[in-house]
Amino acid sequence: MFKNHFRHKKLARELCANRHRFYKLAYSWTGDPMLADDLVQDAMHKAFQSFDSLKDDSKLNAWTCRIMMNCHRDWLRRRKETVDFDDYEFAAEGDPQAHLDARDTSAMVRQCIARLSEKHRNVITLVDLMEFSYEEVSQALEIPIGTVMSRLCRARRQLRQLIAQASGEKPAAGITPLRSVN
Amino acid sequence: MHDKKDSPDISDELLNSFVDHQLTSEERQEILHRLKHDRALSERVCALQHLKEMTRLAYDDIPASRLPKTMVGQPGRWPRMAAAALIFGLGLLLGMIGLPQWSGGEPGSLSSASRDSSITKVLVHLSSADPQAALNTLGNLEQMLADYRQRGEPVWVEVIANGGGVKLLGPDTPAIAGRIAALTEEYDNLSFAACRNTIEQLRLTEGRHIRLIPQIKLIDSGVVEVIRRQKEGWAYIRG
Repeated sequence: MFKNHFRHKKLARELCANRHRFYKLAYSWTGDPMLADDLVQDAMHKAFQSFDSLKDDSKLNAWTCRIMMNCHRDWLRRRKETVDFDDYEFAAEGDPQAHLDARDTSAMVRQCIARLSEKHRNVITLVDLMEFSYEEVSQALEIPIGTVMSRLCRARRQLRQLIAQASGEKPAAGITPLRSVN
Repeated sequence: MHDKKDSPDISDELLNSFVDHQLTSEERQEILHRLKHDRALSERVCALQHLKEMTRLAYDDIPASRLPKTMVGQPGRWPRMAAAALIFGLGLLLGMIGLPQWSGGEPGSLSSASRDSSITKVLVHLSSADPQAALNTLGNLEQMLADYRQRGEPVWVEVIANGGGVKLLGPDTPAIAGRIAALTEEYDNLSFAACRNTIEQLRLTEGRHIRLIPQIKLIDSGVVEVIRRQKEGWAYIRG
């Protein structure tokens, strides 16, 4: 019992130490600080309650990300009952060009990331914000490493194109026209 | 994305793995060697690194999280068994040596605060199920408590929830639960109570089982408590 308690404490400490990264990730998914806080709190609460089901402690972060992703999906599902998702996502994020006019590159990049499909956004944010290895991404998303690599490649290609469009640049030769690839 | 004439055998997947430090040391050495002689390849790597950096930096200036240091549901500081044993032992010891009876309530408790006219007493009534309104109330409350603390003036605040307000005091509304946990940890002159009658009513009429976070105590009737406090001269604020 004591051993279990101290294990739970250690895991909770580790999660709390990484909380700022989970918050960034949640923010990249929701685009709203309050929703991001809600999402992190919800995911961590569920993680704290379910430590017993975590088989391998080294996979704690990937496991918690999966919980957070499920919480986010539940939230989107609930939201969809009242608000059209497409309206919400794109109207709230605004026009990337408008942000560029405001000379706010960071905001513009965030808008472009928000415009990616969920699958592409997840893989990019897990690698670049959570600093996950491909193996951890594969655990978090429950997909093979090869799929992580190809999806990341497509996601970055698409993001680069969105940023170029928002910056008013002409897409470089050889870039595939933008399409929704999941 | 890349010029196939100059670097035909190095895929984008491989270059992504390179900028993400996912290659073995041999693979990495191989690409580093190629980069010295292949300008197009260097440009592809630079573009990927630039994109990665832009993504990372885009979230450096986002609004800070307002979550408390202690998360709701986090495992406690002591094993529960040990804490329970300690309390039991202490109680036994105190019972054996005997202690004088306190007649006016524990120092610093709500009952003593009620009787002390030098303390400002504030009752905040939460009856709405609107989470945003509750968060605003908690924000105002925090500001008020900080203000009193700064001025060194004693204040006692009790938040009483009934009606829709009790729906916001559980783990299902984590942002609110987190704020409550943080506030009660920071201020020992603040307490939260939920109406048992409302909880029972919600169970019977809506089949809803209300769960409360540990910081919330239960009182029999929110309305009765509100009236009683008002009669005792507590300032009343509707949250």
